[in-house]
Amino acid sequence: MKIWGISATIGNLEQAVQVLLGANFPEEKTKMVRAKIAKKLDIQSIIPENVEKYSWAGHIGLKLLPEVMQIVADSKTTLIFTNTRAQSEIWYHAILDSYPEYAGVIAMHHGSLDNELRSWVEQALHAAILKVVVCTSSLDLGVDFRPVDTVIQIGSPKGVARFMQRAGRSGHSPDATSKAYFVPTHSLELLEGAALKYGIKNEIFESRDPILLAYDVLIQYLVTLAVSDGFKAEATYKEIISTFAYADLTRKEFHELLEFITRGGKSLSAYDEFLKVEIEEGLFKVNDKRVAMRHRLSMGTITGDVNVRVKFQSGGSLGSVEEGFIARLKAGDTFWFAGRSLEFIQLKEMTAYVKISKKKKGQIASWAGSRMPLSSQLSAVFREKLDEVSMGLEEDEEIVALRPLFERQMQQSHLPNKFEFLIEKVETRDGFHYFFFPFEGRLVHEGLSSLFAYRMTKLKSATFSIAMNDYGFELLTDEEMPLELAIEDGLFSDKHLLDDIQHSLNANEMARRKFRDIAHIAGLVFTGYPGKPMKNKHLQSSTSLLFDVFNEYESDNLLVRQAYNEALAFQLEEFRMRAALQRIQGQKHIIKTTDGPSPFAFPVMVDRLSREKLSTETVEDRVARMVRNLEKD
Amino acid sequence: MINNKGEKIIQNWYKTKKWQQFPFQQEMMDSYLSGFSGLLNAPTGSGKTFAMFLPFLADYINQHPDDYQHKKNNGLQLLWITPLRALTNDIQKAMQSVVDDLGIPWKIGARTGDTSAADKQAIKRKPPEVLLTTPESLHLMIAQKEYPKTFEQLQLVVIDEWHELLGTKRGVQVELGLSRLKSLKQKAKSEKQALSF
Repeated sequence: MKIWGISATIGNLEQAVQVLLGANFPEEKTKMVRAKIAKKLDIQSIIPENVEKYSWAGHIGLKLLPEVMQIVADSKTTLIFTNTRAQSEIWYHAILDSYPEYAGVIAMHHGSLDNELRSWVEQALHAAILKVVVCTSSLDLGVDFRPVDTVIQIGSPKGVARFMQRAGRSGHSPDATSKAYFVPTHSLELLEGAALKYGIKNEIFESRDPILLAYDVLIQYLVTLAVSDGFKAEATYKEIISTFAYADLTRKEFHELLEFITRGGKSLSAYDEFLKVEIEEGLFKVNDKRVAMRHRLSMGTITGDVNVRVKFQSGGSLGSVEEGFIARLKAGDTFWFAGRSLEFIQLKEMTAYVKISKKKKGQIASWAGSRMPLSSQLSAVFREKLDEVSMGLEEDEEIVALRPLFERQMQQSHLPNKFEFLIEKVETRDGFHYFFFPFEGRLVHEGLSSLFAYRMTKLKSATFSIAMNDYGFELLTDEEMPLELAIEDGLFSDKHLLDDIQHSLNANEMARRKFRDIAHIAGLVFTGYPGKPMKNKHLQSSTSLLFDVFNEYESDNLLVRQAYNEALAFQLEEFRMRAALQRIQGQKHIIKTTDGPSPFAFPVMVDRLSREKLSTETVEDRVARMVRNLEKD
Repeated sequence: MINNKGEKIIQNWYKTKKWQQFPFQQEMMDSYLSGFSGLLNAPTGSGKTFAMFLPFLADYINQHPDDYQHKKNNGLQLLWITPLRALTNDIQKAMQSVVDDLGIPWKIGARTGDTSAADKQAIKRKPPEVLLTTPESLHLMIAQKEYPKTFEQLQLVVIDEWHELLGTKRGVQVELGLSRLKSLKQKAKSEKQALSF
């Protein structure tokens, strides 16, 4: 039997082959075939006419709608990629509002829309019926839509490989040029346009790191084997360690997993619902038909929020939204979904019944977990580009256009080169703001900000409110903090990092959240029968209870350990955090006191506002007012 | 000079389609017919589905040079795993049109979460030669009684869009599924050898 993988270009292709074929696959039987098709790629950033007046910190990008629609008009068929489903809804709505003539030739495509709706859009794209489709990553993959000749990316694609993939969705005949446009949603993001071009030209692609020792997936798999024909421990162990993911699985760990599926492990042995697998003459087997059926129903590794179907009262399904969003609505409320204004009628058995609303205003359905961080590769190029500016060596049109913004940054604060680390202090009526600019991406900043806050409170007690974006983060507090002293005291040190992380970021809480998914995959909780899913609330409380039981009575439990590891590795990217701290330690620390938020600090502040308020509209208004105040200076 | 029937037939097919064969498609053909496993690095829209599927067909024709246009019920030969069930439709259509062109009497099958229980049973009873599926569906197949029979004739497993699965728990599921299939084949091989003594 032969095994072949097909993959787009990523940073770790060699490793991708190893993971696919497994730990023991003979090298002389392995081959990599590379297409090396030099696809002509034409990337352009849309540069706002007046960079300084262009929103400093928007996140929708709608101000460039006329420019975007000009491109659409000049192209045959355009895909407009947005980063979130909510943003898709907003753009779709805005286009129809300002360009009603597009009705009938515009469509939307994202993961929460009904299958039928999506298939229709795909067919219509093939048939060249549509002129423009607003979409999310849901159209990243798959076959080509030949009519598509233009791709527009709204906001940062966050990674080089992803942008490359999306750009490749246009211009399909072998000699055609792929045309791709980058539309920044705020001024500074324009620099990312230059970074993206550089990354693509120099083939700086992100890696996909393989997951190791996922005990939850293994537990599910072992029960799967027990449900069908049963398995023998020794042969199965050997088979499992032949994979890349479990090559380091010890016999002791394997034994613990077997204990777990047969006797519920140490803590759960008293509860027979956890006793799934029986041993008959060395064969691990599930005999209980009910256990087998439940297992088959709950197999899989895709977990996430419970979704509620959206249906018309009169019949007809539109797709699904998160339970949490629907829970906030009252009967009669209006919301936008699937490009329509809908009036919420009632929630019944995990279905939200709606009817078409005539109202123009309403909330946009929102989905959690859609904020991707800037990749470490793109962050690094971004810092290089910034360094060019500080040396006056910039050549990219995007960066040249940003000159007024950088001048203002220099005037008000400082423009750091790659040997410098910038910190800004500003006092407003909200309190004392400390802005740090590592340019490392949102995820790393999430960890660093809590770490810095924790370390500062060791010198002087304070409560911080924290905000961040892909470029930097803000610590806001009521009283002035001894910043210089804190730096001397090891604010940027990577010593005791793990300890400090445990203290600063409620690591328990993060692990608990990770444990929820792990418990699902390992089959510790049952998510319900088809059409009768259990409410998320109930699941949450039962996984939480299990987490506490394990933590208290069996702290070496493999699944709990996995939860902490996942929290550290995926949630915090501990590895990148450490690398960032080491870099910062070697840099010159520049502390500037400013009399108002600088162009770098402003977008970070806006992040805090958009977190505090739920409706985007009020944030937009408030930001507009802040910009007006800035421009008065 | 090509001296195997399968490759000749595929080349002719390219010609009748008036499609130019890219160097990497030829390289893929050579690698596959020489018995390699591995990775095809190709972007979307480069003809990667054909680059992978046609060498498999050439190999099949070489195994059955005289009756490839008549032989039915060969058991599952190719398992094609994709991350999105939405992708199966288009691949299915593309593959079906090739086997139709070549006069191979197969029906390309698909098994995803959308497949009805009756169809799933039919697949288990009489597997199609080519089956498109997802990582989850592969595991569900392994959760069925007497599943090893389904995979007895398996020649090739393809993991499409591997970069999307790598680095996710679904990717780990693929790794585990492949390890199971590899063992099944090895076991069958050694049993066959034992019989021939």
